[in-house]
Amino acid sequence: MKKHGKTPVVPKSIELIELHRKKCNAVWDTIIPLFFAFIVGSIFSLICKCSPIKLYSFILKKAFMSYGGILNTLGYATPIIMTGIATAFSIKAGIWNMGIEGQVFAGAFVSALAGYMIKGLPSFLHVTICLLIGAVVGALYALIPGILKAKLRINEVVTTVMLNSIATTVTGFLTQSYFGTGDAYAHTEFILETARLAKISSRYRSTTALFIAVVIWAILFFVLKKTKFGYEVSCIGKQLEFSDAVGMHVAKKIIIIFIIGGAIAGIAGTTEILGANYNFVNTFSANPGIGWDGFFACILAGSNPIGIMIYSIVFGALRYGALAAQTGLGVPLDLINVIKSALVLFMAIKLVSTHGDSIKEFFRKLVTKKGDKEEKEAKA
Amino acid sequence: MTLSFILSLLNMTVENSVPYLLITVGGVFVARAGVFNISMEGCTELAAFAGILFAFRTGNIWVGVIDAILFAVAINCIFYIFTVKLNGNLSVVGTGINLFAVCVPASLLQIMYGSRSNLIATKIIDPLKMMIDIPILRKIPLLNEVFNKQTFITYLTILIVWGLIIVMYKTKFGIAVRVTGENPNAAKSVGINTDRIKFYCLMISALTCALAGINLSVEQLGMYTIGMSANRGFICLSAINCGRKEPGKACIYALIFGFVRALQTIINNFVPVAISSLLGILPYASIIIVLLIVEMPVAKRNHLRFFKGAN
Repeated sequence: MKKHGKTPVVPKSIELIELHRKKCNAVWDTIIPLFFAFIVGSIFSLICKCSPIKLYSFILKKAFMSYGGILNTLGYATPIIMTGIATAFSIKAGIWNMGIEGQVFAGAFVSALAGYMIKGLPSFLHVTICLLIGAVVGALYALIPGILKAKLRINEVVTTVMLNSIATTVTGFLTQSYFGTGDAYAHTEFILETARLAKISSRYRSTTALFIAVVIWAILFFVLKKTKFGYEVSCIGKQLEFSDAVGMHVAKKIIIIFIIGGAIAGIAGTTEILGANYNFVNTFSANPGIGWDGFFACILAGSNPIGIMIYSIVFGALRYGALAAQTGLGVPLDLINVIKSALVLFMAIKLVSTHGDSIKEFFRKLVTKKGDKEEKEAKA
Repeated sequence: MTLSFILSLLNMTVENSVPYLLITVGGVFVARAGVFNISMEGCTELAAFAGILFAFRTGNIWVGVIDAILFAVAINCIFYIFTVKLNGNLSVVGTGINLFAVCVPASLLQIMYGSRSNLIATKIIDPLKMMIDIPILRKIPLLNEVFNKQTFITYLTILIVWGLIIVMYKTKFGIAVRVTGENPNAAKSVGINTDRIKFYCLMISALTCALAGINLSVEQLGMYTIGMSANRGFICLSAINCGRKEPGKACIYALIFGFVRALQTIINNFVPVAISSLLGILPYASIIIVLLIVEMPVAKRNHLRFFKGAN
């Protein structure tokens, strides 16, 4: 599936051709899963008695075609950018940290408490303290699977998933009992005005959290690409034993990676509370949760920071578009998740770059067989 | 009082262990064949949904059962094609399938019945009638309390676990599975088709996951709620890890986890309502503690410094 761009490339050596081919393969690897995923989505939207073209154009129109739409999309994308880049750190190191969702819950809950319990501070200080508390709590919560993984080599997938369930249960319990307000639906008290993040435009979801997210994204991008630590992280992901043998202190690095992931996840949860929700409700990150969305964005982008940014915005658009489509077209919210899951599945196999040659071979054989048959028939 | 308490606890343990045991014993085969399968969760969830949905639509339980098995097999076929045949990353494909299994029931329920959270089919399925009264057990005093009046799949589970342990250790297929996981190249060199072995293992896992799903939704409750499998796939994964991928040991851990869940349900009756929701963490916390206890003694051997440990 070699495909040249519009500008003619003068190949200087075989390596250049290889490089070009790899780039083209990478492009095809992102386009083909999109195609398949939208086919799967179309099938399900037909089951839901809604024309797929109408659905897709509705989501596009709502999410990108107006000033408010873009602001809402960015508002939904903000936490996903943070959780995505948080996941990227661990995935780069070959650690399947699926506990971002739980860390988001832990950070969000405690900072929601700090939002109304700490009183009499100027706005800037209050917001900073809330963010710090969220980060610390998230990091502490991530420390549990981190230590278990680094010291005892317990599989992190199981522990992080379990800790997610524990986080949602415990925060739900606390909002119902000790920190609840006694209303019909369980929620904590609203946070004070001083703790709230300023909105970019009062009617839409996007807040100054967007800038926080972009700054965090940029810092981690820099750390991953340009520093020694980032290099060591990717080394650990590629060859764990070797990295340890050359003296990279893998156990320590794994704990640091977990802490960074947890801290950023905590901040993501906090901004969601301070910017959008203003109080903690147990369903504030449902369907499938901002931690999971970040996880999927990271996987789809192959833990490439720029890709994470793009996919986060796409997921934000899907999230907002799905909400709009539910009220506008009567399409269930979960239909979008079907598309997402199909996207993840098809993205996992990297059809072109790993199977391009064999597929080509298959088609060539098919064609030659047909040709042979025709020849034989012609002879007969 | 205390005796009846213990007996009811054991009774609940048997009831709650069934899905754990089924998923674990099927998952052991997959794990032994060298596939890290986290999609058991999604497989169970989808089977539970399909069982209830088709039983509700057609009014016939057996249609639901067959469809649940078909769905589970289809899901594991997808897993097989994407990971073994097309070399996709196991964890990525697994999470993709898990997401798929949560959102498909939700969207279908919302389209068909207007509520995305649950589907109650007690009109067709009466959970009380699902319990089988065995005349022989009825006459034995203690066993009657614990083992009698369980569902059909409970008794089937005992057979399945026993049968699959024999398959693992006493048959040619079992040897092939173990070799495939331990050394794929050696397996290939003696003429074992490793891909096919992995496929058979995934099919076994699909069957057991489907039975677990049916047990959860159709037999025990007669209804389906979103997130019904409640991380049972992951719990069983840790049971398999704790048991070092040996079916007998893994099943013992599955029983422990079943016991903890039973304990949670029993304690629920004695504590105030406010705290009972906190008890929900008991199954999950117990797993982390069990993992900790199991891994602590071998921590030194498992330590990251491979080079020191080798000498």
